[in-house]
Amino acid sequence: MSETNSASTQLPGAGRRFLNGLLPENPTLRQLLGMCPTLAVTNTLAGAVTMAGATTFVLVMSNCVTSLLRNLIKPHMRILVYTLTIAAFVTIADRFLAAFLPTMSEKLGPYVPLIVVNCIIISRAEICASRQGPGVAIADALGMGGGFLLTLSAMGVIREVIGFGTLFGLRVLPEQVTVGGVVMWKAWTIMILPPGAFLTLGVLIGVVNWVQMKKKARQSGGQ
Amino acid sequence: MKSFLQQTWLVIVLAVGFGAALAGVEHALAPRIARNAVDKLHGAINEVVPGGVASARAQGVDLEIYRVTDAAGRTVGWAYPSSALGYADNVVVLVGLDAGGQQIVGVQILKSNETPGLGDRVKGEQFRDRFKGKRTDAPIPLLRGSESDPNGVDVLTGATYSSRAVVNACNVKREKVSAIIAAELAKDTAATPGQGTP
Repeated sequence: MSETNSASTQLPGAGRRFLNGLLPENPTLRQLLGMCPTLAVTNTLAGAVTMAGATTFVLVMSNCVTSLLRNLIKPHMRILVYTLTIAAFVTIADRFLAAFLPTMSEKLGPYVPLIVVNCIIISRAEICASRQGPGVAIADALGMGGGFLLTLSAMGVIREVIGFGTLFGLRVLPEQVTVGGVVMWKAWTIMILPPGAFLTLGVLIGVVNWVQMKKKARQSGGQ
Repeated sequence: MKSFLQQTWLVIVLAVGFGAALAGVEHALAPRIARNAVDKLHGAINEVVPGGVASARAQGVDLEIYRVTDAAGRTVGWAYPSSALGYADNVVVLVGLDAGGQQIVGVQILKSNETPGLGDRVKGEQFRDRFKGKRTDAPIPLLRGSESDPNGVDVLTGATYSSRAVVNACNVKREKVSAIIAAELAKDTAATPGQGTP
C-alpha cells in the first residue's frame, strides 16, 4: 500500500464525518467554536435557526469549493483562499437574507457578515475539505452544520421559552401567573439578555460532558 | 514575475470569479432590497397616520418629510423620521402629524438597539400611544415620578434613557417641520383657492 493511501484510510469517511459533527465532535458543545453567534443570536428560536441555516449554507459551499481545489492550493496560500471563498459566500447569504427575509436580516444585523470569521468554517476547510474529496467534504459540512443547528436551536428554545414565554413568536407560557395576589411566575428577562446566553451554554456543555463521562465510565467498567 | 504568477494565479482567478458572482447577486437582488426598505417606510407611515393610504416625499425641502393622503387624494397628515440618542444607540422614530401639522397622531420606532425587555418596551403600543394628541407648538416634556403636564409624556419605568430618546426625537425637528408644513399648506391654498385642506 502506498503512503498516500494509508494516510487517506486513516481519515474518517463520509458517514463518520457526518455523524461526528452532530454530537461526538459537535462544533459548539465539544469543540467550543463559533461562540459569537451562539451567544449573540439565540434569544429567539427563529433567529437561531436562521443563523444556523446561513452558516450551514456557507459551510457546505466553502467545503465544496475547497475540496475541489485542494490539489491546486499552494500550502502557504491556503488561508487566503479559504477566507476569500468564505467571504464570497457569506456576502451572498447576507444579500439573500436582506432581499427575502428583511425583518430577520435587520434583527441579526452584523452577525451575518460576521460568519466570515466563524472558526467552524475555516477549521472544516483545514481539517476535512483540504484533504478529502467533495462527497466527504459536503457530508462533513452537513454534519457540522447540523450540529450547529441542534445546539443553536436548543439554546433558542430554552432562552425564548423562559425569557419571553414564546416559541417562534407564539405564546406557550403565560406572561405572568399570580396566585392570591402573589406573583408565582414571570418571564425571566435575564434569559434574553447576554447573561442568559452564558448560563444556558454552560448548562448545555455541562450536560454533554456528563453524558460523555457516563459513557466512558460504562465502557471502561464493561471491560 | 513568472514565479509570482505561479504562486498566486489561483487567488487571482478566484478573486475575479467571486467578484463577478457577487456583482451578479447584487445586480439581481439590489432592486428587491431597495423595495423592501421603501415598503417598510411606507407601511410605517400608513400606520402612524390613521386613514393614510399613500405618501409622497415633500420636494424642494432640506428635510425628509412625507405628505400622507387618503384614497381620495386628500391630505390626512404628515410623517417624518427623526432620531435621538437612546441607551445603546440612536433610536430612529417616525413621527406622524395631523393634516394641519398641529398635533402628533402616532409614533413608530423604525430602528432601535435598546435593551430587550427594558428599553425596547418603547416599541410597544402602551408607550407609543402616550404621544397621541400631543401639541407640536411647544416641546413635549418627559414626565418623571409625580410630575404632570397635559402635553407631557410619562416616562416608562426602567427605561428612562429610551423614553427620553423617543421624546427628544419628537422635539428635535419640531420647529423646522412646522415651518415646512405651513409652507406646503400655503402652496395648496394658492394652487386651489377655496379648496384648502380643512
